[in-house]
Amino acid sequence: MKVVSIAILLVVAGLLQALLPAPARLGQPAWPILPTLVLYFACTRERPMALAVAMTAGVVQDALGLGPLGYSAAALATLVIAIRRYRGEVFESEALTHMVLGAVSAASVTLLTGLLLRANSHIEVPWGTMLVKTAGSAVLGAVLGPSVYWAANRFEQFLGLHWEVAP
Amino acid sequence: MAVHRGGFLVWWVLAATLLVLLNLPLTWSRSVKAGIREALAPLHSLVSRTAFRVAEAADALRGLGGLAVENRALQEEILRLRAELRASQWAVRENEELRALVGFRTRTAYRVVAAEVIARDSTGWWQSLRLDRGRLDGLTPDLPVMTPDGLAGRTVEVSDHTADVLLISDPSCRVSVRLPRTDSFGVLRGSGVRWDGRVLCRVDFLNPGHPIRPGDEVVTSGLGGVFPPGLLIGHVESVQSDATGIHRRAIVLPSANLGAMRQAFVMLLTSDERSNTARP
Repeated sequence: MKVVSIAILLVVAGLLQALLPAPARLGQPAWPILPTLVLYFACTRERPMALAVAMTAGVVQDALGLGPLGYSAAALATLVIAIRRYRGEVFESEALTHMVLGAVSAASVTLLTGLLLRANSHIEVPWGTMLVKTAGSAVLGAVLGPSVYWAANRFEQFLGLHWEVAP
Repeated sequence: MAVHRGGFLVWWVLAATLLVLLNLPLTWSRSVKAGIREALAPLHSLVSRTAFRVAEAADALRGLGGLAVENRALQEEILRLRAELRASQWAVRENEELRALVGFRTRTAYRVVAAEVIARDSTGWWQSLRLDRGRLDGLTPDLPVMTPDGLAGRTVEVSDHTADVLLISDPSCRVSVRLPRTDSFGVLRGSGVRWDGRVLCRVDFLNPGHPIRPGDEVVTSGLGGVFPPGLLIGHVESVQSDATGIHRRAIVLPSANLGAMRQAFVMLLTSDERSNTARP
């Protein structure tokens, strides 16, 4: 059941990420729903499960884009490793923590995938555009971080799944 | 000890999976991507169609969209007629210029497939969208994709029921173009989307001796083997010298509303029509 719930969440996240229009005023970054969902699992699951989710989410994200497979998976796996290392450093407010982590997650995944794609000549994006996109992604991540965390948490509670923050 | 072994195993599996993913042969990689797209396509289609119908219903309620379905059929007809008209104009001009040419091939109406946009690029790094038609509908990579207003892009990755379109606004999309008024040729590439939401392209390598001015029409030249000649792309917004000073550069506003596309028409070119596009 836990695996099924993860699969449903990943499919819904991938679906929404490909449907929502990218805001032009923020440099047209994609809505970072998959990265913030991976953040949720990085905070609530054991490392192997969180990494498996990150890899799967990365493959889904790459499959829905024009780039080669593996770049997003690498970026999301790096995110999980970093989040699990620093997730002890939290703010007093849980929402603020999720907001900051959401912003950092979205920005780092956008920047990492962008750098990998650019280094391998898959995209032709000027450095300025890349920075604007990364900053825009951080803004969207800050908005989505608490929302996705709350929605995923509520969904799992609705399914009656027991979860607790992994040690 | 067991914990260390478990941790080592996690890293090993992670590294191995990443290595395999990053080094997948192109055909395998395409198959995996196509499989995931095919699996998600019905859901994408369902959600986007629902959103489309809701928007149509809202239009109808406002009294503007009662003829939405008829409009769609008419848009397809307009596209076909415009393509025919432009092809005819090109042929007439060529006939005048090349009177000596005997056996000039008669251009037939292009066959088009109407498709709905079901998704957009989910990574944010490309100007692309996904259509709900694919290989089973006769689509292949490198087919021109139109809207009733003008060229939108070309197909790049095609699965059985979906096709990804690289829009002309993407910096990696290049189109050989012609400015009919001055008979100038150049290469168009996308400039992405500006902060105000406007989509712009630019035409490089224009002859500085040609008096190009704002408002000039930009159409496909037919060079390059992908786009047939005479497809409307947009109009010149401004003209400037390029960095070298040797050529001029034109900023072009595409006629197609690339940011709000709901439908597109893919031109199914035969091999004859493809080879026809390669001539100057």
